[in-house]
Amino acid sequence: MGRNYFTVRPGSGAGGSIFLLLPFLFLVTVFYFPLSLILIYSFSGSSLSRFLEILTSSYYLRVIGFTIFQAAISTLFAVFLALPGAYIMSHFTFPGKKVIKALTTIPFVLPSILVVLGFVIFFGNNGVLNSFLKSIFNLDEPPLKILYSLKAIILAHGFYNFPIAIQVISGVWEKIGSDIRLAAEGLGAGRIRAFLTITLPQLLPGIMTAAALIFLFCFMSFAVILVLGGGPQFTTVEVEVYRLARIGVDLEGAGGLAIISSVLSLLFLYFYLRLQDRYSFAEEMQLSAAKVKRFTASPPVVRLLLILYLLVILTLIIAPLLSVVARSFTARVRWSGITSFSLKSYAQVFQEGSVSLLAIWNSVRYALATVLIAVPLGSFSAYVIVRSRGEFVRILESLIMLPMGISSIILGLGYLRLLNILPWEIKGGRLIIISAHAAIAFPFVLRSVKAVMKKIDMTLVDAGRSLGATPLRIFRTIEFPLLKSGILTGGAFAFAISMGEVQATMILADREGINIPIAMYRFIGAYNFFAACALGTLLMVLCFLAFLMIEHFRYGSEIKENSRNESEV
Amino acid sequence: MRKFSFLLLSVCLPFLVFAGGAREKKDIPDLVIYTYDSFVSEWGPGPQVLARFEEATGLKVRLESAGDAGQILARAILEKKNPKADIVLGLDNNLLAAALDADILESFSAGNLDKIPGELIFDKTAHLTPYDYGFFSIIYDSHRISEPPGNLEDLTREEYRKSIILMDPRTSSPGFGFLLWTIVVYGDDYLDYWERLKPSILTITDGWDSGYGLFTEGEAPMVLSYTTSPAYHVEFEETDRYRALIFEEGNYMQIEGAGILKGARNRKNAELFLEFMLSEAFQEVIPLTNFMFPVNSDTSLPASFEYALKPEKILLLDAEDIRKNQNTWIQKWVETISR
Repeated sequence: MGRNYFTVRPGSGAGGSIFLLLPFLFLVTVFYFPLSLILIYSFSGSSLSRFLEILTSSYYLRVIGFTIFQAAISTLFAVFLALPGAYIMSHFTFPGKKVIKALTTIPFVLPSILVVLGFVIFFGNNGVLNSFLKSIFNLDEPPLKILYSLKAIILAHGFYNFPIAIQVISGVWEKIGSDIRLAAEGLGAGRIRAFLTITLPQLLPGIMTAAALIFLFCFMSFAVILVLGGGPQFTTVEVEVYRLARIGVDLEGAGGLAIISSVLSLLFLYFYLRLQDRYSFAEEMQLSAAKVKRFTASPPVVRLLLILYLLVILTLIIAPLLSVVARSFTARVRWSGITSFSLKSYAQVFQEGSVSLLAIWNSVRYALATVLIAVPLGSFSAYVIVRSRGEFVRILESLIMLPMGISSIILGLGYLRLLNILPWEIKGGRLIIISAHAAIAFPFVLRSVKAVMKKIDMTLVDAGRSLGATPLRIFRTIEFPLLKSGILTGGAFAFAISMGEVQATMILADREGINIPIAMYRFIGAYNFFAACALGTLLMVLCFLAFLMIEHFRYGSEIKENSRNESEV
Repeated sequence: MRKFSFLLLSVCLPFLVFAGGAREKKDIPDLVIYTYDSFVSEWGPGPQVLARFEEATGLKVRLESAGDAGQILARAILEKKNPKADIVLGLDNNLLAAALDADILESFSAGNLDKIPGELIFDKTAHLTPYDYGFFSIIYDSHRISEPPGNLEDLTREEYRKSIILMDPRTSSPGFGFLLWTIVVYGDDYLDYWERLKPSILTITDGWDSGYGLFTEGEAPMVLSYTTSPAYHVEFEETDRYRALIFEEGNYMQIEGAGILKGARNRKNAELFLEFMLSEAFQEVIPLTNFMFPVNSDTSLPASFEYALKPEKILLLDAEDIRKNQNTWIQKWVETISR
């Protein structure tokens, strides 16, 4: 059976999906089991009437409507913002490319409080940008009123999520050959037309993958929406779940709302998968097919445009991050209360016996272990899913994606319920924290691998097989090299998701088990925002190094291959 | 099949790595307490208080946190049939009615309860014993406001356009406290007040964390917090730049308490802890770690608490009233403020 195992062909029906049961079993244990515990609890009460009450209330319908609306707009914005970036990243080499790519991924790991603070420090009415403009033009009022409006929400969501789009889309783009497009241009199609009719459809699996992930993240967002939106006129479903579960301690209502919102997420995922299956097609994909050019070799106009784009992006991304870093090096140490340069925060973080050091060590361990679990599981599932067909697989796939579309408060309550009914003690076990992180990161890896996997041309595999290669050899020599960029992207985000995770860790960790975001929230709870920024800075540095390493794996070998190809020609 | 076993191995490997650490020490504690996360924090009261209690009694305590006050109540309710803790610590007057409704607490009056002023004993049925209290307040930046407002109505003045950061009552307990504050003062007209207040609000944040962070970044000159907040800046930053406001109509109070869970395995030890909680050994830790006032009036306060003001007039709504009406109040508030 070993022979057929890894080359389940399209059309082999539900046969391949049996292998999905292994990863799915993992999710059932660490995700669906606790989730159903809390949902059963909510529904064992009075609850059908509560459920209907929510479904028929015009208020909740409005909230659900707004949630979908803002998520859709934010997704469009993030994807459009990322397209030129993905083009640059997949088509040019230039000094500092790896650094820039690693930098753009950082926003993704930040806990929402740092996103909010970073944004306010830079874009706020009293922020760096406005103060600068005020002093230049001698103004009394802040000239740029960016924050506290719908556009601030969309801007912040763009900032938070466009790294996903850049990574995923450029991962696909760099594997697309230019032959068809060049042929079309040779036949007289304009560049724009060639892009719209040839390149864009080829990119679609990547674009749709990124869009789905971003949509889910924006669907669940709420701190950014409330604070930067300016208040309750911008209310999402998550805010209402929070209200019912925490302030009202109305677990039935919260459970009901969580079910409605997860059914919405599931429906969305299902239809999205159908759409994706219809519009994406396998085609010839080559190792580093896009000719990676030296940046300086392109015409001056193109160069100017690209530099302009990079500048805008870097301002949008780096400025809020740098604001947080700058804050970490200041303190209020004078009676006047004005801030000045100080290393006090770092002294507090690194002081002897500080829990912060432990938190840093824990975060790194959790993240590495999460990558070790989520990447094989996710890649494996992607592999099986792409090679299988049928409704059943699609439903299973939607179910695998759900951990991204569920309210973390509800999942947290589920874990509490689980801790209570288990006969043995698991609280504080690092194992369960890692499992939870892996469950959340798993769908992400699945998606990013699948985006690339979809594009593998089966004739390559068939050719290999007819030449007598073993499945393992086919995997090692044909499929894995093509999949590498998807796997690396998935791994990077699995690392990031674990590093930034708050909700599940807060509930599951004991005193020795806390991670960086929780230590950060504890500083803030003790009014120490400066030390929180210092920990946030360390979080960014750690992730930056990890992303840099991943970029090194991705491009280090590729550039070598490229130059070898060129010299052969 | 080799691939398959590789997959299995890589899934199991991390588990193996961590399995050892998971069950190192397995000593059974003499007392288990659920509380909110900032209490357990190394900057919070938890570590000091526990050390003192263990020194005094020789009892081993395990402090477990699971998020904020609302979450610990949810946890206790979820575990009602099979409680794993003896005490919940951190439920405030606004959560009292929900806790009583859920019927999870035992009634208990500590022997030294007479050290606590009567008006602080917020649960007459003695299910929750108070350990600290504070007052919500508008904190202002004295660099930017020279003549601060004197009452709620002043906040609506034109000069304070977009000057206040508040918190959402749906997601934050100070936010909920401020809503109740306006309800005590304005009664049924509270929505009219919010209508007038709206132009003065810069933003309404999800929690105290982001709200206070925005304020210290200088986004707005006023923020909703506690009268004890300035004491932090005096104690740890040596500045009196940020000051609390006492309003003419009074400030709304928050009292935090702890209670013994029904079915607690270590009932006797739990009672010991609640008595210890009212003693000075526990109470004197509170001001500089929890930034609240200790309930035991014999406790000496640190010098920085000169800046933590106490209002003449204390505002407090009846717990049962809150439980009955909070949904309607919040709902009407949302509709008014989103218009």
